[in-house]
Amino acid sequence: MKKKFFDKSLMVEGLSQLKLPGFIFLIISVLGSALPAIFGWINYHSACVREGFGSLAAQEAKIVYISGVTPILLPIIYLAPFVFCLTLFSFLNKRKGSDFYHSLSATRVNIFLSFTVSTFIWIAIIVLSSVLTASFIYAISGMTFNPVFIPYLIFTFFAAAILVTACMLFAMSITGTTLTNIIMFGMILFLPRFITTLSVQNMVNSYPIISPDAGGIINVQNNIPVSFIFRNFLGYQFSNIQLYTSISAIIYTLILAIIYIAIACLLFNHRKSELAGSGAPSRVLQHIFRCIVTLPLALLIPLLITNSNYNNSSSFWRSNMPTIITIAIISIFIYFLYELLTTKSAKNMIRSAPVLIVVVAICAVFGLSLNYAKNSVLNFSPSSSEIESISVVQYDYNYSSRNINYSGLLQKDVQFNDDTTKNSVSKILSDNVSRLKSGTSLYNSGRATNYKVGIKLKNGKYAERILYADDNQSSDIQNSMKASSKYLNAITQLPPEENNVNVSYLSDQVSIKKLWDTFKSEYTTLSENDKESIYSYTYRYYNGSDNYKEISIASFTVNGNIGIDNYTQEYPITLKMPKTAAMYAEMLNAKNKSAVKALMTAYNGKGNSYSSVGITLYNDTELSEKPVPDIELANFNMYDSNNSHDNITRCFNILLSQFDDQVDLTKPYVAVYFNVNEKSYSYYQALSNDNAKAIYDLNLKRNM
Amino acid sequence: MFNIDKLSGRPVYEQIIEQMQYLILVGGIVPDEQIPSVRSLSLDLSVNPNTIQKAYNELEFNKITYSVPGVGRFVAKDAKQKIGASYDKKVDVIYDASYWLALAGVEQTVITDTVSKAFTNAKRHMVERMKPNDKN
Amino acid sequence: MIKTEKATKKFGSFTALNELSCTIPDGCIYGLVGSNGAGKSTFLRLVTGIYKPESGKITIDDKPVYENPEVKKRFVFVPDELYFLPQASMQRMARLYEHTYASFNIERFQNLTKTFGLDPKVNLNGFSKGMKRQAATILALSTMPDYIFFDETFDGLDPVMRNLVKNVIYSDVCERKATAVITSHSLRELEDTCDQLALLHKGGIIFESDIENLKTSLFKVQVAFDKEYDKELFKGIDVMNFVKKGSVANLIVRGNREKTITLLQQMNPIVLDVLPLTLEEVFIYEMDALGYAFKDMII
Repeated sequence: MKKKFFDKSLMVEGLSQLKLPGFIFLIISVLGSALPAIFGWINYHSACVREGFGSLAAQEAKIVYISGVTPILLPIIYLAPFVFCLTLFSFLNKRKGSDFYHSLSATRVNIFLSFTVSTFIWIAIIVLSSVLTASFIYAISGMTFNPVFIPYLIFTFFAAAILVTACMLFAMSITGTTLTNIIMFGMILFLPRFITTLSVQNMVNSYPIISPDAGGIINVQNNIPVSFIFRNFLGYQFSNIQLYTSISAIIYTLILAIIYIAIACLLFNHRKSELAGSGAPSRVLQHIFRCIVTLPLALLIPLLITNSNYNNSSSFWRSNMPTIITIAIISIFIYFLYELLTTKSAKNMIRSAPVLIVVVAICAVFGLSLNYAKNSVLNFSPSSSEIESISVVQYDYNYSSRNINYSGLLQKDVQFNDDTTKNSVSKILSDNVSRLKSGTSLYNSGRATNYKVGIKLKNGKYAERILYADDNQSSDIQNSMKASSKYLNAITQLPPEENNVNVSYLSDQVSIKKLWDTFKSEYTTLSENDKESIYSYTYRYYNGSDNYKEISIASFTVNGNIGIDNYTQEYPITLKMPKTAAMYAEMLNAKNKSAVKALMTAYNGKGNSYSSVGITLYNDTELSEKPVPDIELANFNMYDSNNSHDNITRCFNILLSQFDDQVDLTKPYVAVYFNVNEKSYSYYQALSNDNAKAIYDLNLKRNM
Repeated sequence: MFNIDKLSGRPVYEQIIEQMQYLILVGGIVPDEQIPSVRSLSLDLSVNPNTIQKAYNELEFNKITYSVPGVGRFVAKDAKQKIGASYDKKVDVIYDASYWLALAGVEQTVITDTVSKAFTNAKRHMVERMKPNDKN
Repeated sequence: MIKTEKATKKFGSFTALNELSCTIPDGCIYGLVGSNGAGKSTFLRLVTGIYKPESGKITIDDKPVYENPEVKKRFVFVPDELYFLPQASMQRMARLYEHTYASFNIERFQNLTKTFGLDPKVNLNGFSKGMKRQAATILALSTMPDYIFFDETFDGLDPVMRNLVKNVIYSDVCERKATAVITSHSLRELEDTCDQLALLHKGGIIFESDIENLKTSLFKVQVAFDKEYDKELFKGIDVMNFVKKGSVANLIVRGNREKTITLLQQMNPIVLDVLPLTLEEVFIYEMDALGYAFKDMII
């Protein structure tokens, strides 16, 4: 029975047939991984030699980022499976080959599985050799290489390549020419995600109360090969860390690959040998394929039409009609072109015209369903008594990312059952819904605060919504939430273990750890209110309030994970943690002192040679012991521009006169920063009151 | 040993039977001597073994040959007589032919000379062979 | 024994084989002749499990062929259009066959390659068409098959090679009771090699017979009398065809030659000649009797 599904000799034969493309890709991947690593090593080494082992340049050159380990694999995970499948399974496209393999004693399933295993083995060899080559070179180079990258990279790339293979096999099992193989491969890999991603985007655009990552499967990040491409071409904003270290993505990708392979296997089993050389197994399927190929473009029409809330107006139609018509014409063109190219028969092309109705119908149904789905969202507006409980999921503005923070992860488990919260939520939701229905903006009367909530009804229904609250509603919700001690704990607890901590402008892991430890110990001494304000600080932009009395001179970005959920959270360093703040300023100054001095001296009105130069004056009237009189503004910023060259030069001269004084963050001070050749330098400089006033005057002059 | 003419139109198996009989009559192959196996004959003559099998089957059916399982096929002891018996009818052919020739005015000596020539040639073609059992 | 029972194969709306039934016993060398489009290749592909019939059964030793490794491992198929791996040499192909046929015999392969005078290391693209056929045949024969299927293979071989291949087949038939099924356009090709012959036309077997029987069952008699006569004279004989020119008549007779001769001699003809028929002529007359015009079927 074992023989019926897998044959070792066939697998060896498959490995042998793949030798040529396999070795070519192997060489490319090994060289393509070794060379960047070697260059990185040389770069680091020369930075050490040139500017010293502890220098900023050396520190920055020392770090190995996960996305920089094996960039060569990015194109390879698409090309290699593609080439391998076309090579090994090309017999499916020619009668001669197809007949030969089908006359062998091995069953069709056997051939399929054995050859598939051969392909997987070659892919594994390529991925492993690439990752291990780069890792080895980095390991012996002395650069900072986190060994945990290795399994993540291996599994991420391997899973992606397996899914690409699976899609290609699926396509090859239902088509019989190379052209149709490629076209259907593209459809299978990208079309479902294309549709879901655009649909979600459409829904969120129309009704922003919809949560964009409702249901993990919809989230495009889980499909690794697709998300890599979408990220590059559709400008998605997920960070490299998330892209390469998402266990849920690896699992999802592998499961999807297995499903596709199972389907391909089944289809391969039923495949008639006569299919070789023709684009589709039957006339009916040819129609179906042709319609599928037209859909990516054609579906844009209903998406466009339903994209906004305001498609009743004639101006909408006027401005969008040309685009719609153009898309329609191109779609029709593609529709007929596909038929002509795949069957090489003008007669078939003409005969296929009536089936175009199907495409139109699908678009219409799609558009209507989208509308229906969106409108049913608007129907969800429960009263307070209908609600069982509320959970709050902290919401990051970037809807497509999973940039949930640690507090957010903890908040997910907090259920609010009290009437006050339920009332608030119910009221805000119904307000939002009525605004959407009437076409009024959700963002009015100043900024609105966003809360992503999970609403569980007493009848068991559950939905997630993003609530847009004005300031009053927001403070109501905040107060009711803070009544729960569990919630308070969720927003004030620091993560126990972190995968990595970064701080603006610092890169030395040892210093960062020291800084973070200091922060943690100071944090425990804070009051609950202070801890809350640190939590809220991160969202001051979202909350629309500029009135924060505290200035953060820098913030920690902490990445970690609870189980398979990754989190990212920022913790500001404010003067509430004086020790940390002072330590940070010292670290930064120590690092950049000489560089900044040189830059300030050389500045002399030569603003163009620097990407940006800035001066920020910090003079917190609440905290400073001796505020400078007559200064009404607490802080201001001065940026380099054509007008301000001279002023900034004069500022620098003032600062240089006091350069070596020890900075005291409780007194007025200046933060200077340069961005030169993509390197950033910051420096905190002490200011005497006179100098502070002088700089302030310069700024005033600039504004006149 | 055999000379098969594939183009003659005469069935190959008939030719094999005929030539086997000739060989036996001529003494080229003697009673209790083994005849070539189907395989070797098939390869020698480039003839379908089934055809040869058919011929051999008919020879055996007519008791001209006999087979020993696991060993091979052999010429029967009285093969010559059996073959001869089937040629009995040919004597009538001689009568018919002679009768008509006589009617046609052909001299009797022509016929008898022809008969003599045939007998001389036949005797000449007959091979003196030792019986396999006589070998020591 | 290969048994096909009412097998039907369609391609779209075109019926290639229509309820075809035939039995091929073991150890037989079976020839299948027919014009293009008659269904020869389709038949072979059905028997070798490449195609699945729309209806009907195809079995070898009562076991179904399709997707049955136990049965399929016993045979090998040499198609009309040969398949080689790209840029492969015979040696590479031998490796492929080793991987895919458990019974592949590398010694036989080497012997045959030497006998045929082919270089196993050279790229097969450099071989002539005939040499490619030889290579494919060698590879197939090296799998020690119980059943071997040739689709118009012989049509491309020169007489010397053909004899070599024939002998290998004969050897296998003798030693292992192998069965060979050979298709061809040409009767002449098959006449020498096969012992059973079948004529395929428009998806069905019209005529099937043992070759030797075919050759002996019909014969031509040329006869002349010095009196007036017509067909009626020969009532006691199974005359398939009667052509009379002047006083000479040509009869195509089915039956026992000796008896017929005797009968005719009793009628005292002035001319009596028995002429053998070529296989093609036999076919023509048999088809004629069945109502087909043979000339329409074979090129």
